[in-house]
Amino acid sequence: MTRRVLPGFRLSTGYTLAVLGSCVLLPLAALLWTACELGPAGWWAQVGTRRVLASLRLSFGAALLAATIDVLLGLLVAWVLVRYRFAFRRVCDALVDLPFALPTAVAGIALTALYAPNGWIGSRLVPWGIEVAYSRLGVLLAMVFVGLPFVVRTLQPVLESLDGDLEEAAYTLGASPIQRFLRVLLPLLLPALLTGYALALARAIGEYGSVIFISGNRLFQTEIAPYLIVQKIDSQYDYRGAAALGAVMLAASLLLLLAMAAVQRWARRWAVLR
Amino acid sequence: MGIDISRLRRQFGSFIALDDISLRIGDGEFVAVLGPSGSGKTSLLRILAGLDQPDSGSVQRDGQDLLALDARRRGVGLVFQHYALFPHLTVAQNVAFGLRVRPWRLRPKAAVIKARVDELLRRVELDQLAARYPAQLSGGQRQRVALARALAIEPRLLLLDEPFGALDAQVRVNLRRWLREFHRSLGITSLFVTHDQDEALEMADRVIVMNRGCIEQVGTPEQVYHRPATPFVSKFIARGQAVPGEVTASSLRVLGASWRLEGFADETWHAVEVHVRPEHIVSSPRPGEGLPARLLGVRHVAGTTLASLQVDGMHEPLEAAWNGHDGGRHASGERVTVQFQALTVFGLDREGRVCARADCHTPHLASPVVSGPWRRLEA
Repeated sequence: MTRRVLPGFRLSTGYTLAVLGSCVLLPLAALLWTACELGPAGWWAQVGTRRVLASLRLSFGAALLAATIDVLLGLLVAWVLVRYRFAFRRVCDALVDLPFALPTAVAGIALTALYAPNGWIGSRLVPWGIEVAYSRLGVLLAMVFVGLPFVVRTLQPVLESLDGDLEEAAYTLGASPIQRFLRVLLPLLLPALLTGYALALARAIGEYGSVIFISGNRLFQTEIAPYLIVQKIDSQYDYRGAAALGAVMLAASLLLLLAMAAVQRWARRWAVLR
Repeated sequence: MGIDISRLRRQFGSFIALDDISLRIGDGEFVAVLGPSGSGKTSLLRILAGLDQPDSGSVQRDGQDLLALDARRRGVGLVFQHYALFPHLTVAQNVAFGLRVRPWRLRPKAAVIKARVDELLRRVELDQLAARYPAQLSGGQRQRVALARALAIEPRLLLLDEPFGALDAQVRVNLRRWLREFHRSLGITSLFVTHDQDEALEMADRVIVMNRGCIEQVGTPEQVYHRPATPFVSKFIARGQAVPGEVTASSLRVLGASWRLEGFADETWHAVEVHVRPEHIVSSPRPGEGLPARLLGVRHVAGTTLASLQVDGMHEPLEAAWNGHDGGRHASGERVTVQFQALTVFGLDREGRVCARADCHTPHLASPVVSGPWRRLEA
């Protein structure tokens, strides 16, 4: 038998599986069980309505878009925080975590106050015909807001550890600044960018508190799927219906994360473990 | 022709990395820049590569101002100490990088690039590994990929930063020999930076010894080794050790013995420094004659005995290198008598600069030494 660094392999593995099982798998299994009690026809009756489909489309569509925006913004923020030295850099660095730490309802209220038609920014956007609060744009904004720290925090350590020699090597080989970024830095940052994307996406799909305040929850327009789940339980005590919708979200999220893991593997194909 | 470096200065805050460096490198020369860390050798390399700019001074290549050219257009190949291979590209893609990033008007066709990469990989003996990623290569293989990548852009000057610094001893020795041959076959003007004396002396056509931002000596490996110009070069390259000495008229007195001094300008110097090399400290052929000393320790390294000696009348112990036969019979703590076979004398002016130097061979003792082959030949 090979000697391991830490003793008690069986004990620790058993513990890990027990925790995973009771905290993650068991609740998910219960969710699926409840959803299955409906049967296929009952399930479709719950999920196939125009209202539910619209909410699912908004939830996943906005989350995908928000995660994409987060990746672009997060790259910029992480780049500035790592590569430049300026006054209040540490303060800015600490501020990145704020959307993460803030109760989501507080974030929602703050965003609504700012972007409502009579708010500080909202009132200035209305003459341009841009409505942020109580629109799909508001949903997107809230999702971008809560997802940003995930991208910045996954990118930062990778950017910091990036070997400056690589850029200089590309430079002496004749690469222009754009080529150095696209051909050297970006491929090296891609795994971290994808991780950040997946995390921001997961957060945006699951976001509830901040979105329901700014979206206004207009029928067919700005209702997100988690809002409908809460509605079903709150107003109709319809646990099975809520579970049916929850199962759809679970399956879709799982598929998205698996797809991300596959892309992740491809992006890291050069990092060979020997 | 070649590269003309003139009065280069570079300062980082209060640290002077390069202090008025002037140097000529001939076409096709293989030059080593040798010095301890912090001597300014890497600063010089980075300025030549275009990754740093000097505070003043000029670098010309065939009359063209090199400093005015951006690093991208300098045609300088740089091999980094830690290779700096692109980890996300295969060996072949790494080598092709410099050709693929060219503006499209100057970029060779894909087939031409492929042929060139194949040829380079064959030359560095890595054609079997073209599809591997850098993480799958050994240190010596990575080093050769880095070399092939730098050569792909057909540089007119090749710079190597501590080319063997990160390799283990066996690979290092093999690769040294290989690189020397490789350079001969290419004929590209090359400059490599190292802190390893053996490496510099074995490989280079010419050695530039640097210390604290200044050039101490420029010369062939033989010149630098056998006729060190300054006490620093003597210490760094030949392991010269200071012994107390006085210069009077035309003789040098060291620990009671008198040496004849020739070619030593007696007026200009302010102080003298006398050095002896480990291999020039030998045990006396006749016991009782020479310098009494106590053996502090004996180490055997690859056929050579390194003895640490406390010579009576000296504070610092001296290191002597004896061949195995000579040194084998000694043990530490023992008392021995030793002789110096040769000394180097440096005369220093008031600013500490060398203004005179001389090599002394065989002291003329009270009774001349009647040994050595020349006596027998005369008889």
